[in-house]
Amino acid sequence: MDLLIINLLNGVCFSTILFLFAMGLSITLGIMGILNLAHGALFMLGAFIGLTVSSSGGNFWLAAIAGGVVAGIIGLVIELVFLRRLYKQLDDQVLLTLGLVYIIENIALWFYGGSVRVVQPPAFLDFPIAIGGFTFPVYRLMIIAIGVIAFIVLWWLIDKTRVGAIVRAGMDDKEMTIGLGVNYGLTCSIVFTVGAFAGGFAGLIATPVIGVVFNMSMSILLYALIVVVVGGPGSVVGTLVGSLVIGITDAFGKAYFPSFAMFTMYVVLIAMLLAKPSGILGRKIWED
Amino acid sequence: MGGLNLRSVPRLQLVLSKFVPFIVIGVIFIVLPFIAPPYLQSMLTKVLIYALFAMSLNLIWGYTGLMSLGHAAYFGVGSYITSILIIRYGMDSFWLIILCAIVATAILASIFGIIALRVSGLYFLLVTLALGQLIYFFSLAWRQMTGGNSGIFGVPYPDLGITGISWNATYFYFMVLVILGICSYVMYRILQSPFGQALVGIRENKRRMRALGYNTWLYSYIAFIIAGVFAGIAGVLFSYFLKGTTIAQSGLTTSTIALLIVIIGSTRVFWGPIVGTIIVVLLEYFVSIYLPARWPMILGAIFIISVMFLRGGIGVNLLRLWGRVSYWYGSVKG
Amino acid sequence: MEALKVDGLSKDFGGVHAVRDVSFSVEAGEHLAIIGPNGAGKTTLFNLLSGQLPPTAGRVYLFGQEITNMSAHHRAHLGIARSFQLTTLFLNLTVLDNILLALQGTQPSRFQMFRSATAYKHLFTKAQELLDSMDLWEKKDDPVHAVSYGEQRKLEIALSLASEPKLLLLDEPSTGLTTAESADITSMIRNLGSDITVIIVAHDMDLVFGVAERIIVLHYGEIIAEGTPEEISTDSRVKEIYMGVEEATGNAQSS
Repeated sequence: MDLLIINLLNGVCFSTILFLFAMGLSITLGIMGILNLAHGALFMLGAFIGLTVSSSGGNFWLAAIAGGVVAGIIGLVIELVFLRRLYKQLDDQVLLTLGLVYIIENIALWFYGGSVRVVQPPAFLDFPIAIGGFTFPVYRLMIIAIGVIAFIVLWWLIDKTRVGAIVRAGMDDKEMTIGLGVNYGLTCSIVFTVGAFAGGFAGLIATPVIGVVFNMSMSILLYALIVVVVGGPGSVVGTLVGSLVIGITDAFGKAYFPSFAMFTMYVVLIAMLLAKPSGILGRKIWED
Repeated sequence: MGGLNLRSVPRLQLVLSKFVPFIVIGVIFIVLPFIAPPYLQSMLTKVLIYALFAMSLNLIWGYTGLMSLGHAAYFGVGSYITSILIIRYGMDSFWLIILCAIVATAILASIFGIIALRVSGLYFLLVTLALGQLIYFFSLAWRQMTGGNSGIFGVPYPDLGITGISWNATYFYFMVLVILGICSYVMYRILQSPFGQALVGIRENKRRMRALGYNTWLYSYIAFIIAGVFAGIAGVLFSYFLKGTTIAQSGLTTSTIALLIVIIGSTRVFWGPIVGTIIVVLLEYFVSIYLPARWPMILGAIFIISVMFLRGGIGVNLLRLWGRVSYWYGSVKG
Repeated sequence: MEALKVDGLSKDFGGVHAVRDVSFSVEAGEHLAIIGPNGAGKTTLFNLLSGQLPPTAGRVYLFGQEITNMSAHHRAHLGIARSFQLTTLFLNLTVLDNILLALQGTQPSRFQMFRSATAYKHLFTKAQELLDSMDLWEKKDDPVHAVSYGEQRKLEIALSLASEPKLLLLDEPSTGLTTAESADITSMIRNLGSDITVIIVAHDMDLVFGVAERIIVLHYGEIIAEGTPEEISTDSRVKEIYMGVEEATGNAQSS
């Protein structure tokens, strides 16, 4: 029973990381119809930048924010310089963002080397608590708490504010939204940047749990893609649901069937794509 | 450069421009092992094998318009089957092995095709990606057969059932060249046929094709399977080349390199992937000498340049150049 | 002999009733026009007839055979052909290639994988005939995106004639064409004679009255009037719909 709770907590912890990271992907996919495969590289980059800040004496949270900011800036640059021109050209988006992944990963390798690095969580959270016969790092509980806060904030932002309304309207009908006088381009850039920030932030706070290494971009991205497809793109609640499903499945999978855990993940993705491509709670995104 | 080459009466120039690229490429490939330094020999064989792999991808992507992010699945399966049959089951005959690989990849592609073709656009990309990853992680997990992360090694030169061949790299190169030639010929015939023209039609306007009476799903499905089989054949050759199989052969990197090769070479031209392979493999080779750690960065830069600037690819631009040259030649002569 | 019978056909898009309980029949060789204001459901009806959309309710019969849920490509083989309102051509391919693809669609050779497409000479002959009849033969090697809009619309119709259909559905064939070009289309359709059953959706009243033997008027997805051109042009309900629409847009009705 205790082991069950431990695995569950690990799963929810990972779900939180996925949620923060996948939100960016979900919104850009839902609002702009853009598939940004470089999102995973932003996660990795945020973690590494945070690592640098942290090891030069910076506070943990400062490091997380720094990671987020750098990821946000780079995300903005990517959107403005490249992705803007490739609206609705899915094949090109895939190829271009793949290229960015290769470049960013190689730069990370250049500056940080090839081994997995870890950042220590903030001192006051760096202790285990006892759960039944096992110990569990308190820091991971903190991550879950951050996730809850983030969910509330994001849900409020998207569902309750004007900006959120614009974003949702843009998802349904881009031309109409522009026609209503909304600066759609600016909104897109803001949304993209915020998503990238969240990704980079998530990258740093995840390092005490999963570490950071230069070639993690695609694996974490693929997790996020599965989350977005399962939960439904463009929906905060959907991304939450997807993250929980994937995070918990992954934790239990890795605990009980380690070699086949990833395999199962992809079976879930395929099943979802075939049964209900728009996800559990998603809006339908354009298809050809 | 539309794609269809239906002409009522071929004029000499058109016939020449159709066949010249093949002649040129053929001559280059035949002559190359004799003029290239020995350390480049194995790289040349790699070019041939990857060219076949890339052409199979072009069949489904360039001609039918379906970009697959998991094409390496068939390459990997073809390669694994070869290594496993030889090393774990002691099979010898090259012909039997390639037959097994063809059957296996055909079955795999027919299953995967049904799954993938249920969706389109973005979802097709994700499904093909997921299917490719499925094979990758499955291979990784089935350690007893595949050797997992370490791979499986010990494949000798092919047993063609002909006595008295003392194999070396050059003979192997020519064997691969012959197989590439045969496969290319078959693919070419398929693409020039009414079936192949229909694939182009599907790429250009699926809706219209359906209204005209074409069962577009069936065409895409058959093309998917054919592409998978040829990728599998390339995988078989690669196993003999590498003397084994590693997990990388079914990985995302292999799928994406194929994508890069095809866009650089030109999706709209039959021999485009061959040109693309030469460029990419050559580039990889030289980068590995001078800047080995920076190859991914250069690869990424090429992706970005190809998408942003190199519209159409090199093959198409070569054809335009040829068009201008022969026009100039014609006007000078006349 | 009934070429087409439509019985209680409906199409519902999650609350929007594009087509409501439509029933009518068309005799073989008849030329029927379907008219109605924008949004009346005409194109949706065509999509239901040609198989691009499955109906929510109702049935469709082609020469007595039920085709209600048949796929578009299957219907093409039963003799239905269709032209689209928005030009649906192979823009990057040449005019000739477009026609050849169209001609091949109903040929058994379309699955042939080993003979070159150029070996099918009879298709080239037919292509020439078809393009000649539309004055498009000179442009045969031009990519479609480079020919004029009027020529594209003619090609659009040519493609639908390629399969020698028994039932031809023409969706707004003369939209965007000049008066002269429209007149060409009108006489072309009339010349099809009673060999082909033609249903045409149009806004251009000159075309409609020049071609139709019978007219059906659609409004909000329902048939509100049906009859000969004379009957329709004097029908008060029809006038009300069109006059109402015309007054709102400030145009004068032409006939």
